[in-house]
Amino acid sequence: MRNAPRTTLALLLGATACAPAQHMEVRAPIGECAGAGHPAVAWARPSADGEQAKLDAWCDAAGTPVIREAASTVAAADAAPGRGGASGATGAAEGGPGPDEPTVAAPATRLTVATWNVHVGSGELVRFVEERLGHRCDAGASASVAEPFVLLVQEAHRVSDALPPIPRDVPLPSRIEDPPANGARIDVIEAARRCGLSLFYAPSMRNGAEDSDQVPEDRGNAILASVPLSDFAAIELPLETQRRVAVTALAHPPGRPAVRVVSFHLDVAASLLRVLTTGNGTRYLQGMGLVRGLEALEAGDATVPAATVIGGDVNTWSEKETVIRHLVERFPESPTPTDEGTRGPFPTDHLFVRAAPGSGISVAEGSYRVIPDEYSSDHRARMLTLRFAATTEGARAE
Amino acid sequence: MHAAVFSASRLRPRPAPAVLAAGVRLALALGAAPVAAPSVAAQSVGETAGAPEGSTWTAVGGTALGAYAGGVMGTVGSLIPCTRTYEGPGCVRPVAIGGAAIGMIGGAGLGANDSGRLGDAAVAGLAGAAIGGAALLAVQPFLERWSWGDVAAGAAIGGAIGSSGTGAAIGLGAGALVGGAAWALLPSVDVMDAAAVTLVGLAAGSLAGWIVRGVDAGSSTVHRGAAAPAVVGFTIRTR
Repeated sequence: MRNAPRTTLALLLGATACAPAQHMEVRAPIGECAGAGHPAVAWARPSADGEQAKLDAWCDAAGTPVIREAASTVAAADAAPGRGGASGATGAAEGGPGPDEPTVAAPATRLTVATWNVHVGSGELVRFVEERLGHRCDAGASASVAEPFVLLVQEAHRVSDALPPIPRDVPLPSRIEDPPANGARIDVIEAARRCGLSLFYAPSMRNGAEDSDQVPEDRGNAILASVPLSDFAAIELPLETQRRVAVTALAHPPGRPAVRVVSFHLDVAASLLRVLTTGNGTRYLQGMGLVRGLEALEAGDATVPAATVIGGDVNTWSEKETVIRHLVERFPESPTPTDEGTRGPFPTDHLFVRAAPGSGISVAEGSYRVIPDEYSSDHRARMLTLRFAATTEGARAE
Repeated sequence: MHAAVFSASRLRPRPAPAVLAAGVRLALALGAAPVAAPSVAAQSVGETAGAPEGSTWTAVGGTALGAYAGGVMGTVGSLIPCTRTYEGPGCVRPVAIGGAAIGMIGGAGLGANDSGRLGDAAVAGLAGAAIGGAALLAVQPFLERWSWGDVAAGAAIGGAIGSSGTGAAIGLGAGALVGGAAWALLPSVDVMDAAAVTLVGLAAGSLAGWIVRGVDAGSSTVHRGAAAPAVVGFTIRTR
């Protein structure tokens, strides 16, 4: 009789036990998505064997990562920002200096970083890049006249007949295929090509099962940039509801040390059972998995970035959530999270910044903002501007 | 030589057959699925035996039921508020433990003193579990991911709410009222804040209901004991 209350309490404790934070390790998934032909992409993932097996099942239905170099580097660092068409730009026309040819450019004074969930092709990427980042995307002008930028994309997609056949009994999400309000639906590969941007895309999952008249698609996170990218890595986050893969690369603003940029997307909710057993810790666990994955990758990396900017769809219902508090703690140069809604009334999308001591990199005051237009997506973008100090003694990382 | 034997009627735990009687009452009450109503009024003096009493086993049952309901309610009530804290999931566990402890205390008191009302709480819990599980079955077509574990979770929550009695309903209503008013009147309060207050109200009302029923059952027993006539038997011997 005496043990009954204790036993009951023990069972209850077990049932309400909060899931411990995941240990992450540098290891590639086993499956089609790992991309045996892309040794340039490093991987980090949760170390638990059972979880890796589940993630591999998701991986089997997705394609391989994509890396694309920009058509040309940014020509002028001090070109007027804002809407496209600013004068004073120098640089190459299409067919001009490519990425392997030395370009003479003044050191960048700023780097714009934006994060945007494009709802699997609904968001008008090209128009956004032109209007909000000041970059001309038409075929006749591959040189950017805008200040350098990085666009962190979530729910990017790729359309390809080369995707693997869907294996049996693998988890598949619903297919999302909503056309934009203006123009045709294009994938992130095509958007990068049209705008002459650097691209790193690593799919998280198949974009549903396709019908006989549909082309196979996969979707995930991507980085688009007007500057060269290198040191590509993909981080499989702890599995809660869907496979989530954050993508990271070093962005190289002209004449400035490298900045690590990360695009990530957390789950909006887990199953009811998972919510109860993790103490509603879905986004916290995935956010900390991202942090630990970055640490695991950087532990073996000789290149120390001058700054790290992570941005994505955190799927938070409030800017006060635990995951945001912890990310702000680990990225202390972050602008203060706001409650301004980026998906309807909910502040789901955020940017976080960490600058190395003495780097001279800071967030330009007043630059952290929400873009009012959704550009046919179901999310509005967030944007900030990194400012490089006039002198960056010892700030070079390479 | 005198020999006086005093015996006084006093409350003592009934032996196992009383549990069987309580079980029969449970079976008869299954179809009605009443929600046990906590009584805050003490029974009047003079009420005699005939009211349900408890036993060691019903005390154990009440402890277990109260711990389960209190732990689940503590978890549910803290899910949203704790995600607004730095501790996050680490904040949920102590609240769940505290809820279980409060439920245990209330449930032990209820089970020890009023097996009938405990039976009512258990029946209401079963009904709540059925409703909760059915609700998760009903939403399956609309969910991207669904498992039988979710049905069990829904049943667990429904069972906890059901067994907590009208305290849960009162707490839910009060929480929704306060949260809704705060959201409507205070710009700094967002929708999730209002939802958090609603769930906190549900949990607080549930836990309060367990305590009130446990205390009430105990005080009713005391009054029954006080009201019972003392029977004094004696014999007179003469040489």
